[in-house]
Amino acid sequence: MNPAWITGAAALRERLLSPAQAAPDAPAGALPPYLESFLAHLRLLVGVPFEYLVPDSRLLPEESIRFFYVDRSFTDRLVDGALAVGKVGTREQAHHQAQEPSLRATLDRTERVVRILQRGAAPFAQARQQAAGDAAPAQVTTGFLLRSAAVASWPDMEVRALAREGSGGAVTWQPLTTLRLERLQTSVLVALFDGVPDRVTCEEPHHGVTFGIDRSGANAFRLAVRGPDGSAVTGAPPVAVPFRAGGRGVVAIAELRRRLHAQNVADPARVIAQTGPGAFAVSVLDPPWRQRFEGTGGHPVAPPGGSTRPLTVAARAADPAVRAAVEEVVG
Amino acid sequence: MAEPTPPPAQGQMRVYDRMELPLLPGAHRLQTQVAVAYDGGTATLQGERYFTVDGPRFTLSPDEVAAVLPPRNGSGAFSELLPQVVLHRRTLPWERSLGAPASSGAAPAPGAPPALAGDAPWLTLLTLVDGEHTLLESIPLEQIVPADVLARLGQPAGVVCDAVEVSSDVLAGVLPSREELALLAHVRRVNVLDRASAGSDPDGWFAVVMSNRLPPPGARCHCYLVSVEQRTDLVAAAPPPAVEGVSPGRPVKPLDAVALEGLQSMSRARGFDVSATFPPARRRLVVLHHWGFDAIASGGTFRERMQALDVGLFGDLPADGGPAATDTGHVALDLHDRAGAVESVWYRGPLCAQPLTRDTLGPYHSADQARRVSPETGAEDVTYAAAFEAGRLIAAADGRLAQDLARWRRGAYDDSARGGTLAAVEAALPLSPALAATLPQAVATTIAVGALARFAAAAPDADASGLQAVAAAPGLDPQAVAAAWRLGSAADATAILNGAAPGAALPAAAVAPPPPASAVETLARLSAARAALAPPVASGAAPLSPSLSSSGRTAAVPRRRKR
Repeated sequence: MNPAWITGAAALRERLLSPAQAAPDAPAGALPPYLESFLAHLRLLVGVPFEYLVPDSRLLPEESIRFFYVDRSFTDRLVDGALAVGKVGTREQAHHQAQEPSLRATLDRTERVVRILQRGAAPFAQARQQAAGDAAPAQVTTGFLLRSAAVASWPDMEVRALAREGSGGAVTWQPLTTLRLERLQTSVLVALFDGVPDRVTCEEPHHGVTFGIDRSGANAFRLAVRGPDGSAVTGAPPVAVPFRAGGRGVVAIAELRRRLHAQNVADPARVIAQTGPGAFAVSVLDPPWRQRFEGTGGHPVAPPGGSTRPLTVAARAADPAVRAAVEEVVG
Repeated sequence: MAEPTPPPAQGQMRVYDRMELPLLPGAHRLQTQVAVAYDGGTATLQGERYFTVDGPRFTLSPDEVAAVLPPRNGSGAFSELLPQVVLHRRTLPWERSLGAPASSGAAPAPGAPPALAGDAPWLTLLTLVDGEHTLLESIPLEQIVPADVLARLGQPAGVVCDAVEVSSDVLAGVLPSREELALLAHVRRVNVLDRASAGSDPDGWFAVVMSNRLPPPGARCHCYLVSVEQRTDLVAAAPPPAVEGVSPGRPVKPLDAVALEGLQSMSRARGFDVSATFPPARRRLVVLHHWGFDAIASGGTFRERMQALDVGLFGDLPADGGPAATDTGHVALDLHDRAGAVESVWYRGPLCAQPLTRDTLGPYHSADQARRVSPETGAEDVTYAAAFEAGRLIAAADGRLAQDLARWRRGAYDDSARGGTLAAVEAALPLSPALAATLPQAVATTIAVGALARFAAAAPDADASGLQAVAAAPGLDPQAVAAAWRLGSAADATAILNGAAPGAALPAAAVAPPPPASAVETLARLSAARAALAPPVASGAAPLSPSLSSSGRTAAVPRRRKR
């Protein structure tokens, strides 16, 4: 009889040690992806009713922009509240207590990719990979609320936050990560940034940039001459805009192009060549308006280490017993 | 489609002349022909398929429109900008054509800009003021375009769409010429990273169609995105002559209407009616999209709106008073407490004017834990308790979240129980250090391998059945064999075991299973020995004795009685 090519014991050992079987699977107690994503969104106040953000409408009047810091304690309480669902006994409490430090660190990372998720740019697992490398705890989160008809009319306005680096002549502007940019209502826009910006810009959406001309007289309009990159050519005389006869304000487009071409012939190095509709568009488009917000003033920031204001008991404590008790506590 | 270039940097935009589809909308015929050569002859295989490429033609879904400028129903100083419509589909203006080239084909005159390539696009944007236009909704195409245009469009049947009706002289005044049609449409590529509208158009490509008319100030204006496909009856080859410094249009009554009114009043005075004999020539165009806005003297543009904003930090109150608030941003609110009494409490949202330190006392397990009393006022601060409740309610409204939460907790309890079990196993089971390291990952495997190693290492008592050891071992404990098989004495067992010395150890690596035949032989030998040595037990408890077995079978046959 031929000897067996493999013995039973060797086969069993092989099977039990096969990588597919012995590979460590994810621990059962890991944070489920949906839960993690939900809590990260909650950290950025996604889904929090507007009344909780702005308890009184007079805090955000019409046609106003209000800058703010996000209260981290508030967002931590939101997460605590969410985890209180189904928390019926001490076992759940012990579980939450034990998981809290790692959960907080995880969400500090995951909240940076919420915008990727909101844009639908990447699935959760992939987005989370991006966040995994950056283990730094969450910084100060800032932002603004903008309530204006401009939000309704230009819903795609481009928002950027920049931080100043360096001083004197060597100032550079570093863009901050935008954590959230979303319209809460038709005319209310909320933006959250990772860090404290020194300058925030709101720019007209580029796809909505329009043809713009300057009024040079009661009935006359003119157009600045532009270079190939769209910047205005300094020193070049503006082109008078021709109109069709008939008084309807119809611009004679072909004639305007002929005049722009003449400008190019006169100064081919600096003025854009009229090669086609694209070049024509560049020479007649108004550059997008970029509104800067910088050094808004406002309240002085409390010095680090907390306020040194002495505590006083106000006379507004209505109940004399409460007042006496508080006075006793405060001394 | 391969991207030829990366998207522009944030804050930049690229502009393109035109973007054409490789396959234009319409009916197409695909012909295939394969020449086959084989031994002894050739053959040609032919096939023909028809297919249609579809695209917007007489109607346009509102989803295709990315933006309109001036804003729909907006009110502002729009009299210095040309209205425009932004389309998501970047090839749309060039998918069909006017039916005529943009440039005449003749060499450009000296001093004229270079000629434009390709056909004129089929879309243009008309800006009309009130009184110049009539919108006709859902009318048959036959009532919109003349018969010859309908023929050139391919006689589409049963098409119902919207149309705008304009008098012929107004239309001649505002409709772009062929070259202007081409100049008024282009493609833009922008960077979409800084925008709020998430996911609406991730690629950043847009087609833009501009109008050629400045909205007159003080007028209600209407913009129509119209189709001029095959409308060479309306679109002029060359634009009308240009003049300098013409005032942009004011809201004027269309000339023909004025003329008609004058004629009618004159004719009525003389006793006859000319309205039937003086029909103003009206032209109709297919409308794909339209919107209205008010052009006013000043204000309302993006720049003016942004510059007029009231800028401040959150918590700044308007000059004319505001809610009762503290400098820390807390607002006094009325709260119904548990007893139903109204209480004045402090609340501050998550947004505040100063940076705050993070509370390190967490986690909190109930909202009451987060309630605070402000020592300065004696009133309660419900900020964090409210936050806790808000989070709880948002989460409770989400069914999937509750499931995930339960799963997460259950998983953690399981993990914990498993950890305890592993510690116990490790304490009880002497494992080699290499195996002990893999224990948390694969419990069953590790324990099995450990047992296997022990089994291989020696102890015959690891073989529960005893068969393997009996067959393979050169020697066994004769006492055990005698007890197991009810032999008379250990000596008999020793004899059966071929006189091998008891207690001879197995070699460490010898775990090869015995061939089945030898086990059967051993059994048979043991049975035979037992039958020879011990008298059979009276009951039927000795299944291995052949004689008993057969007699039992005989006895088991029931005897039939006669009645």
